Parts: sequence; structure tokens; C-alpha cells
Amino acid sequence: MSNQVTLSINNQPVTVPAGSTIIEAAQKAGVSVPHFCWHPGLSIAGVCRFCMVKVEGMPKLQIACNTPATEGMKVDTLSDEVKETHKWALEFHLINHPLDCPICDQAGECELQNYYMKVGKYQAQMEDQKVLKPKALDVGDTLVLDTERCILCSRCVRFEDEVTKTSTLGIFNRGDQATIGTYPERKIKHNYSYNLADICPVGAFTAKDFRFKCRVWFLKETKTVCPGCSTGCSVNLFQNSSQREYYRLKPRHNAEVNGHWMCDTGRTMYEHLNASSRLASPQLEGQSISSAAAMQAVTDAAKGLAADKVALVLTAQFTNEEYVASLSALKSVLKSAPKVFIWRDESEKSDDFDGILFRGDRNPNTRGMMDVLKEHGITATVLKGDYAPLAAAAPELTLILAPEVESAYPNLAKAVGRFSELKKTVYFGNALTDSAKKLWLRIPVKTFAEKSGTFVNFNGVAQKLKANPAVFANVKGVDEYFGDLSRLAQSAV
Amino acid sequence: MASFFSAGLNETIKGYLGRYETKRSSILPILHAIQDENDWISPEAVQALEAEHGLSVIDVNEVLSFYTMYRKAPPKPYRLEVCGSISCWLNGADKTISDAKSYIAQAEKSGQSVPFECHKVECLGVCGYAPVALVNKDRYLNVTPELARKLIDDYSKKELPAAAKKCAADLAARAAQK
Repeated sequence: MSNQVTLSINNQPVTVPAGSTIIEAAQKAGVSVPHFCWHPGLSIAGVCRFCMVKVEGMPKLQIACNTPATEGMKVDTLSDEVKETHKWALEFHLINHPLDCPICDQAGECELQNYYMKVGKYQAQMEDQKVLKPKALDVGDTLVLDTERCILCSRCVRFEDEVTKTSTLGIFNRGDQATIGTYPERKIKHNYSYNLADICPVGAFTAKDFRFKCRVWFLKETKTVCPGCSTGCSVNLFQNSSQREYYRLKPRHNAEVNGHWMCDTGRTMYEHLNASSRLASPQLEGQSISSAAAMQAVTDAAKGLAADKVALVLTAQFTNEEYVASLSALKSVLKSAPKVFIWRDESEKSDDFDGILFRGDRNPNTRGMMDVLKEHGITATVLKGDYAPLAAAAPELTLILAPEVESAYPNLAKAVGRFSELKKTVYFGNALTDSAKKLWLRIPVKTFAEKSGTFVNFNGVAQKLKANPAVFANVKGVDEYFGDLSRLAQSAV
Repeated sequence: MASFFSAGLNETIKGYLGRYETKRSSILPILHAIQDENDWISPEAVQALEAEHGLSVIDVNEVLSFYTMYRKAPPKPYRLEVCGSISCWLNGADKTISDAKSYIAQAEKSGQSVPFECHKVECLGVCGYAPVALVNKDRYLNVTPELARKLIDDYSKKELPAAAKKCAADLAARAAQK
């Protein structure tokens, strides 16, 4: 027996693996079937009764999410009968819904609202009063729950059971009194809670970190990679481009890396991108200077130095392209490779893994960095809590590619303090900490949102970053700065 | 630490837990067993099911809140449950219920404590002898208002059932703790 079946959806043939459901086949055929409770990353519940389709030969309409596709099946999603059913199913979902879209944070990306505009638009026919339920419940550090907006699709309950296995949510009571909730006095406490706001098809779960801050239609999304740990989840980064302000990250489906989800730690990766938390211009001994002057100062400092008097301290938070550019530039300027050190935070437990996505190695490109060093035949010394090997090398000039995500380095201030004891230190990073002020030269760099490049995750999967316009126009990427360095050094000769 | 449940009840619970493929499947009979022994299902009992037997409080609460016949608040020692479905209703169940309720209320107004509460319930399956009623788990047929009053009087004179005594003792212990 063949393990593929061919069926037709709206007279369009589509071939899918045997065992696929109609809704999966429709997705493959590019036909959208309206649905609430079905989610490709979760089990089938079949409770919202919204994905009704006509199957030729079956007396009644069938739910597309739980009906297996069979050979020769003829499915219709466009007939008046189907449309009428969508209208009625929607009306049932709206019986007790408060219709407070103007003040609901989900407005604009609410599936209930979208489907109402698409297949609804009718006068309500209910005489009965709406059932009132608890609103604005504090269900954890990250989420607010409005049980009136809930349509009981059970996506959140299944997420808690199947993905995080914490089972914090349930549906209590029955009939029109049925309500989503936690057990009294217990909260949602895990590192994946924002996914609940994502998978909630309506505005029942909203994110404390985002609600009421910005309307979603002002946000532009960029397909990029989360820099929060070595898993490197595929994400969409949301920016209000007219304000030049980043607001949030959401996971982007990638079966090879993160599936449908991402962790709450990763959701904070927009915070360090905004102007208020960044160094705006290079600082030479505490004085603001231009980027050109800063690179001139580095070139002058490097002039005539032997390669072993220059130290390059790397963190695994830069792109492959930036490592290649900095190593090549230094090799050409110094005629040989400098001493290379790798800075890891002393508290790091790089082999930790939470069993879902989050890894103890909080650097997005450890694998890529090691590959580049290997290609260049460089053996690097690891600095992890002990900075003596760096001090023992007594470098005249130390170039530090500092961590972009400073929260991943809880002992950053201590490390920077040790670096400040060295002779001339150049710190490529956006640190605003007090200890950083003692360094000779600080040069701000582009963040992951502002540059193109490659991160290689723990598993060897290479993913591309996509550049948005920089928040500060004068700030360059590490590869551009090192390009300047080799040009300046050459023109001096 | 001492178990929340009695030794016998713990054995019963373990028996049900081993009977089905998943632990969740055994929630209904376990809750009945707890209700039979303690007279109601307290939040402490739900939490003890999680702590001592590994049932999630969410799963238990979903079941508990769905069904109306699990008692979620401490009841009085005796429950007069009169069937209000069609045959009993046609044969005067409503009258029995309202009479029994006012009989209890009046006695209480005069300062007497009556160990009884009265509810209307759905079909008890003995339509040939309508109206039908239960006092806790004892069945009575053709329950006229007169018979209902007699049942209330007779039962009130008896020694309280074990579950009611346990319920009262548990509540007293809980009050003393606070």
C-alpha cells in the first residue's frame, strides 16, 4: 500500500502522507481552513468545531482537524453550507465574549476578530444576558488572564500538559460557566510562559511585558535568530520602525531548531537593543570621540607591536563573519596571529539543558567561533573566572569582543574590572557599567538586530541574521571596524 | 508526616490508582471514596491527593468542579434528596421538598438544631413509587410531606453517621489550628 494519499480540495489535487488530516492537507494546498483549537505543535482536541468542511459522500460536515485524509476524497471548503456553518459556530463562540476589542491587547492579531471580519458580520440574536467571569487575573509573573475573552479551545491547557509538562492550567466548572484557570493560589511558573500568549487565539492570555505598549499594526517583523543561548531559536523581532524602538520577540517555526516555541529568557532579547540601554559613541579615557578617531587610536597603538604583545579576547556572541574579519585584519597588520583568549562567564554551566530549548551555554555562536578559530589554526586560552593567563601574557594592547547580551554574563563587572588592570584595552561592546569607564577605549558595536551574519547553534545548524537600520547611525559592526583597522594600517605604511 | 487520609482510605485510593491505565482515570471513584469517609471533599484533601498520591490538583479540580454531586463545602450530617424528575414531579415532589425545607427552617428558627438539609435531585430510577427520596444512602418510596417529616424526626434521634462525626472533628481540628 502506498504511504501517500491524493485527495482534492476545492477541485485542486494535493498529495500528503497517509495519516495526515484534512486540515494539514489544506495547509499544503494553500487553502486556509478557519480554526481555533487546532495547533500544529499540539495534540488534536476537536473542541472548537470551527474547521468544518464538506466531504463528498458524508451526510454531515466534518471537522478538518480530526478527519484523516483518504485516497480520492473530495473536500470542499467554499460552499454556502460550509460558510453558513462557520457563521453559526462563530456566533456560539461569541455568545459570552465581551466584545471589548477596542481595549483588548490582542486586537489586530486576534483570530476571533479576524474570522469575525471574514465569515461573521451579523447582528447578535441572543436574548440572554452574557455570563460574567473573572477578568484581569494575575496568573504569573508574565501573564494576565481574562476568562471572559476565552473561547475554551484548551490550547493553553494542552501546552502546559504536553510541552512544559507542568499542568498548571485546567478547565473548571461546566457548560457556560466553564472557565480556564490555575489552582487557587498557584501561578504559572516556568521559562516558557509567553508561548501561552502566542498560542492563545484570542485575548484571554496577554503578556505583561507587551500589553498596552504598542498596537501590533505599528510593528514590523524581522526574521532573525535569538542570541539568548546556544540553541539559537528562529524568531521574529518586532520593531516600531518609525520610533526605532524594539518591543518583543516571537518564535518562528523551525522544525530543525526550536519547533514552534521559545523561552521567556529569549523574549527579553529586545531590551538591550534600544537606545536607552546603549553606548552611543566611542569613549577614549572617558571622552566621546568619533568612530574614525577611535580606530585611528587603535591603529596607532598597534603600530610596531609584536604579535605576541597583542591579545584578542573573544566572546561567542558575534557572527562567523566578524570573527573572520577580526582575525584576518589582525594577521595582516601584525604579520602573524595575536594571542587569542575566550572569555566565558565564571558562573556558566555550558552543558546544562532544561529539556525543552534553553541551554546553559548562553552564547549563540560558540560552535561557529570554535570552527573559525580551528580554520585559522589558532589555539585559544579560556578565561573562566581566572584571568591570570591573560595578565601573564602582559599584552601591550588588548582587544575585547565583549558580550552583546550582558545579562548572560552575571559576573561581567568583575571581569571588566580585571581587564581595566591591563595596559591599553579596547572594549568592543555597549556596556554602560561603571567599571567599563576605567577602560582605555570603549567602542560601541552593532547588535544582532542591526547586522547580517551567521550564527551556528550547538547542533551545527547555521542560521542567518537579518539587518535592520542601526539605532545609532555612527555605530559600526566589528567586521567594519577591523576593515578600517587594516586599511588605516596599510595607508600608514 | 502523618497522612491526611485514614489507613483504610489510603488503601482504597491505592487500589483505584492501580486499576486503570492512567492515574487520571481513577479520579471519580477516589473522590467518591473520600466523600464517603469525610462527608465532603476539602481543598486539603485535593492537595493531599497530589502530595501523597501524585494526582495533579488541576486534574482533580477539573473533575470536582464539573460534577455537582461532589460536596465542595462541609454538609449537614443528613441529606434528604428528593427526586424532582418528571414522574416524581407529577406526583408532588415539589410539595415534599418545600414542606421539608420549611419544616427544617422553622425548627431552626425556634433554636433547635436539625442535622438535616434537603435538596432536589435528578431521577433516582424508581419512577413506579414516585415521589422517591434518599436519606444519605437509604432509599424511601412514596415520600409524602408527612413521611418526609417523620424521616427527619427519626433520623435526628439516631446516633450521627461516622462520616458526619469525622467531618465535625476535622472542622474542629482545622479551627483549632487557626
